[in-house]
Amino acid sequence: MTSPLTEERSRAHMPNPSLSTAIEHGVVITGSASEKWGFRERLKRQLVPGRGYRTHLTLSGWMLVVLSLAVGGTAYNSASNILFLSLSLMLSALVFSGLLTVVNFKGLSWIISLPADLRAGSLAVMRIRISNAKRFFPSFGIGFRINTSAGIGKEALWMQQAIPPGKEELLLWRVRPRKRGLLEIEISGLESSYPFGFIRKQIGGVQRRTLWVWPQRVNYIFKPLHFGMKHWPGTMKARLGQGDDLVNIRRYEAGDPLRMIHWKASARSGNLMIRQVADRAEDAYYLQIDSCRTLWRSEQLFESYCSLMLSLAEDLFQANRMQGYAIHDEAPIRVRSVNDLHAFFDRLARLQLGEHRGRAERKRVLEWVRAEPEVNASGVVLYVGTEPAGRLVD
Amino acid sequence: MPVEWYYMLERNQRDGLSIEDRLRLQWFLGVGLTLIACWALSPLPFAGDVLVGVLGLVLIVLIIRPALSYFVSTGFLRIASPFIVLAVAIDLFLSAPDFLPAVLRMLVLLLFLRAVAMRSGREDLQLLLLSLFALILSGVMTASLVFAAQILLFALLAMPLLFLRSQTELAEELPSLRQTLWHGFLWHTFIGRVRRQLNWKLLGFSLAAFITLTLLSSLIFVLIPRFQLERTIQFFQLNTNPRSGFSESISLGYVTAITLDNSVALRVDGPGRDALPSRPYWRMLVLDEYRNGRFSLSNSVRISNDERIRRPLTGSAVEMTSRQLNWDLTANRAGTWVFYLEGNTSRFLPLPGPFESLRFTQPEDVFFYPAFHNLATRSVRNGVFSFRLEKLQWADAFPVDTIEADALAKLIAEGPLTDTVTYDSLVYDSMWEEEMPGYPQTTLLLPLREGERELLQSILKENFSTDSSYESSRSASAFSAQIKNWLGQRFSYSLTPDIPPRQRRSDPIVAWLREGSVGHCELFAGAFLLLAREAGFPARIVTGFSGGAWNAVENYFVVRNRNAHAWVEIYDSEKQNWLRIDPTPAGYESIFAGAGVAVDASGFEETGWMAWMDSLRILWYRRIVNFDHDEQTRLAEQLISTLRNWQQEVNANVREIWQALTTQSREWFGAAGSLGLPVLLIFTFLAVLLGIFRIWPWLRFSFNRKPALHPWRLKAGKLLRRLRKKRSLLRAESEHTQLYALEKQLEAIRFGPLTDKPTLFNSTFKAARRALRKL
Repeated sequence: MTSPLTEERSRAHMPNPSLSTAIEHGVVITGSASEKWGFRERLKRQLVPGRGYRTHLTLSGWMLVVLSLAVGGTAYNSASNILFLSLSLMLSALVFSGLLTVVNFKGLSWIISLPADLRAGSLAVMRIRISNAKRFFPSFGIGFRINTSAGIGKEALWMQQAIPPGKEELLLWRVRPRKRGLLEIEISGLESSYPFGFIRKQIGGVQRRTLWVWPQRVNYIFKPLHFGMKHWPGTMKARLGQGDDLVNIRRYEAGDPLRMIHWKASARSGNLMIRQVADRAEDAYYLQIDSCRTLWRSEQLFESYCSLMLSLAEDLFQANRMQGYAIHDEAPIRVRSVNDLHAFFDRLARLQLGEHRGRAERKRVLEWVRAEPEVNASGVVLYVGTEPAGRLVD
Repeated sequence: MPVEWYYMLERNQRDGLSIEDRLRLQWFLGVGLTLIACWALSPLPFAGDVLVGVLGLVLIVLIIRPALSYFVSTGFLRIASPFIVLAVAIDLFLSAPDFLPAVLRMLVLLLFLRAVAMRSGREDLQLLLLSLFALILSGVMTASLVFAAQILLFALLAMPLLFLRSQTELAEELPSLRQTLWHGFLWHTFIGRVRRQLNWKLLGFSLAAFITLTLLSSLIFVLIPRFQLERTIQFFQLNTNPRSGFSESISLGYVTAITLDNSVALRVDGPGRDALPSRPYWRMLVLDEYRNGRFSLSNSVRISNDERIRRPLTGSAVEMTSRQLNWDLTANRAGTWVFYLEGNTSRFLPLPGPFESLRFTQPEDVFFYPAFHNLATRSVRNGVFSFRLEKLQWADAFPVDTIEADALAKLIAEGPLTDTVTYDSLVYDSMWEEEMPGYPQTTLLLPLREGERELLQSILKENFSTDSSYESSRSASAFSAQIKNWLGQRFSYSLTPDIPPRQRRSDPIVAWLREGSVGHCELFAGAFLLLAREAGFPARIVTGFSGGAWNAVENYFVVRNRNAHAWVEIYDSEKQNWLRIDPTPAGYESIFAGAGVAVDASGFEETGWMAWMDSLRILWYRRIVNFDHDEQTRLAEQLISTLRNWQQEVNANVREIWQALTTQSREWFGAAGSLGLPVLLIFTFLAVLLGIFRIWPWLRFSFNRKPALHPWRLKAGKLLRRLRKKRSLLRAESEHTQLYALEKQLEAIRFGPLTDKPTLFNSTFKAARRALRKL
């Protein structure tokens, strides 16, 4: 990770505030080309650069070196000044290339916003915002290398256009994870072969992040005969939801729906304010999650189950009918916000087929949705109480 | 579509050339490099002129119609490639062991294959390498100034090509783009798009980059360590023919043919204009044998193993000693002369007289002909050949050693060799080596028929009927003066001589003496040679250059091919030396006056822009081609001496200023205050420095209004860093808390909104400094 100072710098040089606000989603990694190193660290970097700080010779670089050696050898053996002149031109091209590379990297800082949500089979975008704080020189051929696990492999991201001085540019990485679970991302950067492609220089080190890939969405039918009760007498009074009664006003947070902005309060306070209203009384459910190996006969069936539960949870939350969830015999966890829902999705992403751990006795069984494999078939059936309430649609 | 996508699309449309246009530009740059390679290869004698011409033409057609390259790569090359490979293999096989011309032809074919087709990034690199290889080969072989222009032009095209390649290689859809690259291509729209991207800033950067690269390259060239290897390998030598007049066997008119060429043959850097004689003779080749209108170096000399006649030498220097040359090396000579002989001239080097040592730029294999005072390389160079003469003495007579003197005395006593068989060329050619007359007999050989000899005798009688002093005293100079005078009166100079039509076995020079009226230098020299031999004087023909002009732009002597000349050396038995006689009437050079080059009123100094252009070549030869370890050392010494002088000057100036200050101070403050004024000035200077140091951040901020560069912010940032570092070393929780609050204040100044309350900031800074002092 970079020092706090470099983070500050990269923020200080961010010229477009409207775009800059978008980076708050997902994991944010910042970096800067002007890392402050002490003498020892600098010496160490020169001797043992470490990953992400190396300078590689490219094919054309190797060709230049081999050609220089050949011309140099011939020059010394033939004492021809024409060859010495050619040699000096080649060496100067190499040196000049190094100098331009240093200039190219100078004043660059970058912010990497990893995708806020990754779903198996869905496209996600990672944004890298690179800003060039130089006054005169643009930066060319800037890129990052991304190495991912889970069968996605290596990919190089390159900026085709130059970054003008004092400006910033956006680099997008599109990823479509194949399966649910852990996704390790390794970002090496910054990197450039500018100007002549002889050397490929890397700065900024290697950043590793672990992300959870949520299960993919699937089609399903959910038509319960019994309705869960959201407000049980004596348990809760004014749950926040999508009703009409105003409960509270709070500061705007990224992701809040715009229609909930309280414009008058915003104008008075100078900050965007959000209306929080009481929930309507409707049926709502808890989801019971089981990963028992004896229940789910195959990995494929289990994946379908996870996908079904994610889709159901998402839709229930959208309809404000999601109360919470419980995994195995754990105590129920309430889902009140998007973050709670995402936490549930993360749990689903991590869920593995395991030994039977039992299931807690639930008091109000009609507000619990559980799923079981279809008998003599490859489907998954949803139950509310003991009654089937829906199923997975292939 | 996310907003970023629109943002990206908009940016892509707004600036920069499209990938397609970059690929097109890349392709054109590759073609440009190939054209430079063609230009470089064109002067080389490797029998590939047609190939180079065809390649050049095809490239020009492709530049006009680049879409053809697609059809060439998909159609023609697929069929032609195996045949080309086969042709190259056969060519290499047939050329063995002299591979270089075949390699050059192969290079042209490879350039053709790569340049005319569509290319991937890797193939662009191959083309670049091939072009560079061609350029270097040509440069090494010609060592011409044109190489400098070519390599600079090459760098000018190669840099953007490599830059574009490093950019376009990143695009993912390259193969499909290349397939459709020239669909609907129009030159004028392409130029318009490229022109829209050009601006003064880009041109300025490009120019600065080019200048930096050139300067860096020059610096490395000067600094690269050079070693004087004992033995170097002669790479890249192409066999070529010398100019006809400077070969071992010349016919009448060969030297005159050279005079029709006005190009420069020789440039000479000497101690100065005054060191040159009024009419310098650049002696290259002595031809001892004459037969049937042909002067040649006799076989006895060509293949001689006698060290007095022909001596093979190897090394980077040829040292002459008085014993070797039988010359008086104690004679007053000075200075260093550097000769730059243009390529394809001759393997014999122009040596105007005796010298102490001759140095080459690299070790060479040469043949030294002591009896002729000639020096020849093994082969004719196709590039410029330079050598350095130390202590050269301009000579018009060349002494002989005692053995040669004895042989010549014996020869003179016997009279001219007139064996009738010797003039029959068929018989002569079939003679055994042992039977042939050897040197110095060849200098008195007169292969003429009786009738022809009678004419020569009648001419001699005509000249010396009343005064036969030459016969009694054997004075070569008296004889020469008389014959030269007679020739001058009887014949006049012309480049188109009136040699009568040859009858069977008749000698052309004798026929000219009988019936001609105008002739060139070879006829004059030949006529003199025959008359001298008939009179019993050993004589030999010398070819080389006579005269030349001074280039005042860079102070060197220029000898052009039109200065090619032939003259005679006659043996003076009294002084035992070969005396130079030029029988061609004086003033013959006026025929060449104004031949393409402007000269001053004296006719001795070249002027005008041609002279200026030519001076660039001598600079190239002096500074680049001949740059060696000695020159490097001299440069280093010069630099050290300049630095030392500068240091001494600065010291002297400082001392002078100090003295003036103390004197002034004494005047103002009396004897006791001699240091008052200097101390005052030093403090003022320090105060000004401090002031600049203090206001520098504000000055910078006034020029560059970036909020992050505000001096208060910078100051806060500096203190913040120091505080954080110190705080990380603290253990007590209370101190942490105190410093944390201070840090927050500094953070607010560093990153928060700026207000006009410097007093508030100052108090925070003071508190931070106090805290730092305490820690």
